[in-house]
Amino acid sequence: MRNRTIVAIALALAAALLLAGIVAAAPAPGKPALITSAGQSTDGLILRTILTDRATGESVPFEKLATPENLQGVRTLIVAVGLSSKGLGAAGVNQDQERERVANLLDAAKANDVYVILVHIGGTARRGAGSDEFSSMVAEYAHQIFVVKAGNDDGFFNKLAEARGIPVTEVNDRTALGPILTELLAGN
Amino acid sequence: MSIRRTFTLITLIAVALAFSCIGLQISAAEPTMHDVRPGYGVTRIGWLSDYHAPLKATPVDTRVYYLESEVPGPTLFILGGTHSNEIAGIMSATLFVERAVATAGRIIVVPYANPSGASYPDTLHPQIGFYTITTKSGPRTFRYGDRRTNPEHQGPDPDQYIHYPTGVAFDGNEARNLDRAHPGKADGTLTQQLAYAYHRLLIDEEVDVAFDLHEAGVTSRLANMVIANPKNLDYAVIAIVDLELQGIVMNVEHSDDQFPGLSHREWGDHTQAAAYLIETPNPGQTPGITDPDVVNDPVNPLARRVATHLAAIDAVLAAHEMVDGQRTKYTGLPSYDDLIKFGLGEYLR
Repeated sequence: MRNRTIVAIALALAAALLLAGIVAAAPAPGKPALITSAGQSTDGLILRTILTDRATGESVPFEKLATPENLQGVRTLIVAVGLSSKGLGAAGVNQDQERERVANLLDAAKANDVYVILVHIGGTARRGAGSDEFSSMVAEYAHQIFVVKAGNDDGFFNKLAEARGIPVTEVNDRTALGPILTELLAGN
Repeated sequence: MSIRRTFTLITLIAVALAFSCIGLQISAAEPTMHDVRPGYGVTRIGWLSDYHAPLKATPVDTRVYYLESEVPGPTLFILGGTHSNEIAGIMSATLFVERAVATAGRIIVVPYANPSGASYPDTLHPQIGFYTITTKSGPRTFRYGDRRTNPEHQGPDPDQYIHYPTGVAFDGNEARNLDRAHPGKADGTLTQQLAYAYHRLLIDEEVDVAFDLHEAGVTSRLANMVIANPKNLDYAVIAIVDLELQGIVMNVEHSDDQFPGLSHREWGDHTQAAAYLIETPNPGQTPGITDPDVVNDPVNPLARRVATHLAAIDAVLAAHEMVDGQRTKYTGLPSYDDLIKFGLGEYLR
């Protein structure tokens, strides 16, 4: 009887450890969160404004050139995708440098079990080969995709989500994302 | 005086006149005047040449309207008609002159930024010529002018236009485009001197926030866009989010650091002003539309385009108030919904 009890406890412990391992392997959204851009359009800045509580001033930090160091303590990385040559110029980087930065950041996010959200709010103006390349890159690491309807007429983001087996949410306009992402980051 | 001396004197005078005209490269034409009816908010009227004297009595000199309150506050500058076929900007600035009353700070308005461009019909749609709006005072007629300075006023275009001071090259006809000439050149071509006068105005009047009001083709990426100098981009972002919450969808973009000469880039870089450019969709600038109705287009009527300009200006100023704690305030302008509902003619004097 005593041996059986020891075996049962051992099995229970093993199961608990296994479950803990599974949980650890599946990042969940929550705060602290960080917004960055992939392509340097103004959409990351717009997203920060949408997620700012006007009453309290509380917001989600935005780092347009976020690096792995910025992920310290971060649970959720929100990547606003959209390529802008003017934005690249304003940030002082070219497209190759931006691609390399985003790739390094996503690798670090994966290594640190950070929940990654791809957001596309730029509509048709932020579609095209350059922007789509960044979207595909971010989707490889994303746990969830949010897209404004106008930028998904061809179902591009549904295909990305399907290939990754992750959910995609389509909204009618940018500001509709505010309450949805706020709820998500609150762990609800 | 002998005949020989008289001849010499006449010759000298002729040579002096010729040199003075070559310096400015202008004809002797005076500026064309337009139908702008100042309202109760206008406290004084000046000329652009007050900021750059050589422009006096040239085809680009233009009226400057001042709307001053007695309450301290920021100085706002509104420029319409940089391109004389982009009429929503001209009408928005005209509404400021005719209806707005400043209640905090002051407003400086120029409805016709380049009267030389408004002195001849749009080269893309010369058949339009003028457009008429019915008001309570009767029909009012306005010029549908061209994008560039009248070639008769500036002489032939160079093969290439070299922007001052960057040295960046553009097509030759861009030498007559005010929005490729900023920050201007005091002794340059007529268009460069025009740009220089606005540069001086912004500095001399210590303008805090400046808007250049434009239009683009309805299918252009620029339509319904606020373009901001990078130093004041955050305000524009807040503004377009607020506009979307009001049901007005606009986008926002940085000034291009590789494309000099534009107002939002150069004003923002070379003066203290926060510089913005607003674009609305004008069917008259759309490739493929051969007979546009630039006033009563069913999708993009002029009233809606003007309402968008006014709403965007107010949203940007509200963003400045939110962040900086102050803005230029005014009353008297119609709301977005009222302007669309009752039409532009209801509010023009």
